[in-house]
Amino acid sequence: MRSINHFKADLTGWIGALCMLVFAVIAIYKFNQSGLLFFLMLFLRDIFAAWFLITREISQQKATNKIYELLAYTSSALPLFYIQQSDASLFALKLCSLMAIFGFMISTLALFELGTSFGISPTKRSIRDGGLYRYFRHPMYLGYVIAESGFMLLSPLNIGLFVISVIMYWLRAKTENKILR
Amino acid sequence: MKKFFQVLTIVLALMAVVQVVTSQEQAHADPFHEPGI
Repeated sequence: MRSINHFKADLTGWIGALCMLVFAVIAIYKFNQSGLLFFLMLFLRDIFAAWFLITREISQQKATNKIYELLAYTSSALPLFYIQQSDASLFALKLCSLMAIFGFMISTLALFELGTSFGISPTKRSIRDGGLYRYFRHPMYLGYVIAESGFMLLSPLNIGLFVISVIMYWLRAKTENKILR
Repeated sequence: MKKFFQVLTIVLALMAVVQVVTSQEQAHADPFHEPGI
């Protein structure tokens, strides 16, 4: 069994894990209310993300500029702000849901591949090149972009938010590439 | 262990797709707004 990092050695990991546990509780609550299996998959992702955050490897190198950390956390929270017009059609809602399922499936698979190298802000831990990482450099971001693209069907205002979100993922990926080089 | 949970994720995703496709009512009035960690 992996050792849990000391609280003071990786405080951000513990805070991140706490956030993920809150998301896990919300996901299981939504599953209980709606019976939608998507939320069960999300619960699985959130529980494991929390576990990986408290058991993760100590970083070898971090982004020196705090702006990159801010960018990472802002980008993580941004999808919560997509809106839905009340007159959205059932077809649009279903398509949006299917893209979310597909996108989050890719991101969850990538999370399992990343394991204890997982982090939110750009940091160098051991590099993973198996599974989806064999084909894509940033499969987690790819999954989120796929999931979020469906929201453009629900409101034209989401197009602007989606473009900002994609730019943020691109910047995060660029920063990570620089650190992992 | 990793493979087991990856397979479980795929199975859950496929079942979720079937659930969305076959649902007749507007079950997704609140689409999946989730954080992109």
